[in-house]
Amino acid sequence: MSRSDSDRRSIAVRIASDGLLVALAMIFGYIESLLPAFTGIPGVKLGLANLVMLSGLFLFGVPEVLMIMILRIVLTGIMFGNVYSIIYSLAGGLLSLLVMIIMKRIKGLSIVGVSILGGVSHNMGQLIAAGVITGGISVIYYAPVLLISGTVCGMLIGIVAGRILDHLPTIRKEG
Amino acid sequence: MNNHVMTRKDIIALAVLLVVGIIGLAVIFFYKGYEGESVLVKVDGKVYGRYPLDVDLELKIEDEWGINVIEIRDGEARVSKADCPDKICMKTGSISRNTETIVCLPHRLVVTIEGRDDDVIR
Repeated sequence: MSRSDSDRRSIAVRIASDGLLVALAMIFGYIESLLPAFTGIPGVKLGLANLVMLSGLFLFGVPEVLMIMILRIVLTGIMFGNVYSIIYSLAGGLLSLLVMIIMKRIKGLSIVGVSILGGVSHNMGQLIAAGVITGGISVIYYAPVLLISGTVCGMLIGIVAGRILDHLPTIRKEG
Repeated sequence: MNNHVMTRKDIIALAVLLVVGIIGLAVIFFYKGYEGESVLVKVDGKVYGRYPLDVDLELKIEDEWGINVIEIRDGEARVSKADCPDKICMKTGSISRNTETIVCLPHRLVVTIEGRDDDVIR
């Protein structure tokens, strides 16, 4: 196979796998909205979609995960939400991704730790967006609840993502 | 690879965040300890009105973002009707204690209970 052929093939594989991951993250987000336990307090959620982002961050690279996340949020927003839900999700998602990228570089922090800090920063990003949109600091009273829920849910997602990575260590090399 | 094993630093991060969260909850609970006096309604960051908690009232707010009905009854305030998509404001339920808040993000509405000495917090 000539070089250009393999380049083309890897681009095709990349498009296919990224499309799959975007779809998977969107479905996770939808499944999560069906869980009754997480609909009571605004902002408290498991973060199933972050399972995809977190695994992606460890399996692929930052640009791909960033693209998958933005696509997921914009597509979900267009189909099920509105402009505000997109802004709201982007604030949480981008801050979370940024923190996870930084935390991944810290030695001694496993994927569970990265996920915990990602979960907390996701919630804090949404809280900041809520504060800006409503133009008040009163949303700060949600902060402790969101901090605790982000920590606990982040840990659970991190443990699951760790298991996934254990079983998929070489998925990308086969592309 | 042992990706599912938590390291020492993971546990430190977990513990610190949980402790900060619990302290935050304790602080808010402490401030919330007394009954509020009035209901502050804000739309898009601007004060819409301030209403006493001990006077029953049904307040319909209709603006460019949508409709919310705020009901004050028996010293409690709640959003009784809303045409927002998620209805989180309605699900929040009744509030009556100082600093408790109902937020309707799609309609940019914030309903906050104010106490006697709010300067302590602001």
